[in-house]
Amino acid sequence: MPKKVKIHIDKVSKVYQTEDGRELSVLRELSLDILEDEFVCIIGPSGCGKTTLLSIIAGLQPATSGRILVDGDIVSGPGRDRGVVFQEDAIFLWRKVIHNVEYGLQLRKVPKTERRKIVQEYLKLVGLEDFANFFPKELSGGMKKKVALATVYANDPTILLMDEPFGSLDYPTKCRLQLELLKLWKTKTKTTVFITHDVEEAIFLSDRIVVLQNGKVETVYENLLPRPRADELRVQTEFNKIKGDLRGYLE
Amino acid sequence: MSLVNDTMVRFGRKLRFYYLTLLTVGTILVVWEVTAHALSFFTPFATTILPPLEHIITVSLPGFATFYGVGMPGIYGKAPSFSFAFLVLGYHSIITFFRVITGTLLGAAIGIGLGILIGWSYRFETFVGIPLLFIRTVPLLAMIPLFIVWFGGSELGVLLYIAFGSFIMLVINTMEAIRNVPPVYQKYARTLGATRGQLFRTVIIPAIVPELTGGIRVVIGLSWAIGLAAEYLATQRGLGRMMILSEQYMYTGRMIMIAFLYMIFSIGLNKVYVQGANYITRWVPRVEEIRERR
Ligand SMILES: Nc1ncnc2c1ncn2[C@@H]1O[C@H](COP(=O)(O)OP(=O)(O)OP(=O)(O)O)[C@@H](O)[C@H]1O
Ligand SMILES: [Mg+2]
Repeated sequence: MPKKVKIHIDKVSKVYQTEDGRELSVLRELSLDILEDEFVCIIGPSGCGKTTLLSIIAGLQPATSGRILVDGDIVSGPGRDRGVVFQEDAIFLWRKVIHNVEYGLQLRKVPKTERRKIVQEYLKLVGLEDFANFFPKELSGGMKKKVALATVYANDPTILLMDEPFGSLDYPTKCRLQLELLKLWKTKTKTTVFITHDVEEAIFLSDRIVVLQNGKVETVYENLLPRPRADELRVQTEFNKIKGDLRGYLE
Repeated sequence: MSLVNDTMVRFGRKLRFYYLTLLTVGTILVVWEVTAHALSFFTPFATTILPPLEHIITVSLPGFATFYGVGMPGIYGKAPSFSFAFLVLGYHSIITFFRVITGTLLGAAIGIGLGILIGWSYRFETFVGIPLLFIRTVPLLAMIPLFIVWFGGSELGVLLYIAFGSFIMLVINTMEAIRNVPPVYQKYARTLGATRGQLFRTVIIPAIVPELTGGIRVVIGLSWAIGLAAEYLATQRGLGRMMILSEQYMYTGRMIMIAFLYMIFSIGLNKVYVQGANYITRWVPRVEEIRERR
């Protein structure tokens, strides 16, 4: 059964105007289709335009040329159908964990009792129910990422855009959060675009891996590793074989 | 064990801090006293130049009773006594306190409100923000004569002058604070579905609070000075008026007494304010101790 195209990226280019007056061509006629409910990882060296691409999909900045269609509609601005977990910590420092997670629901004026029920559910899913009344300054880096994840999930977008969410974490924490993310994705499946520059992370999470290079899609790798995936997978031969294959593209 | 230790260390540090403060203040007072008495060997005007502490307490303080009835109800002038002196000082303190607080609050409310509106709309920025940039360049003290012309030496004039000073400082502070809100918060809120109004209410306003609490603290401190300047020139009541009366009769001790009152009030108000502000901004991540250890 062929799946429907969820995000259609059509010859998108981005040229930045730098402060010293030069032009920086970051994306060059990049085209890519992302399917419904698919988990796509985008990898590529630092500075190759991953964040730029993500923020254009999110509608936070315009493309210089080309267009992006979501469910057939042109993206012209941000919307709650596309939730974003940013590379840097974006959760609101003045809101306690529970009030962070309910933020999107509050914006939509979801009644309080229902809101609390949804929030409890997601706090539980990411394992933060005991920290509901903590301020972000009282959390660890990994916990802050979980709050962002729970907030975006609770807002129920159809697309999840994640920009190196676990980039700054230590290896065991990263592995744990990857498992939790897959658990979330399994229970509440969403089209997910996950940026990383960690090849192993990309293999562990994705259905497909898109390698970006010089503002273009260098290659797309079909990742057929079976799901559900567990930590043991990381040391198996198929896993390492894919790693070896991808290394080639990343030099 | 380490918790007990920690508490003890902290208690010890606190004790040392009080001890050092006491020592410093004590030294200043002793130097003062010695200088004051030494002066009397050289000049007959020693109490006018630098009155000794016991003179301030036993002569200058009760002396305020002679100002009874000035700018306040009652028949003018009483013989020096502590009770009437306290009445006089209490009355004028309350007036000054009231002016400083209401003036600052009024100015802060308008300043912050306008700052937010300027951040909200281009129209406000051009019609209000730009004229403000010009008004801001006029030295605050140079506005006193204008306020006297407009409001006479009235209660309202002083209050509005304090409000004006707070307003100018806080409107700029607010505009600056809005500019400093990290863009990632705004992006995050918009991807979660916030409209522009919601963005302002739920992101911009809470995010500027820490910067504003700092600004307001400075403004409260300055309000005492602005208020004094205005009272000094233009009113019949308030501590500033007491100051100028004391000066006219060359009562140096009384002037020092009023300065001391200002100090107490200013420290007290600041302390209360800081407690409140710390509570409101308790979410702000801070390093525990950046100074060297005591
Ligand atoms: N606002 C901007 N103005 C000018 N140049 C920019 C701007 N944002 C990004 N760039 C440039 O665009 C290029 C791509 O940046 P981008 O943030 O998309 O990289 P990235 O792939 O996400 O890198 P990383 O893995 O380090 O996060 C970089 O060379 C950067 O200097
Ligand atoms: Mg990036």
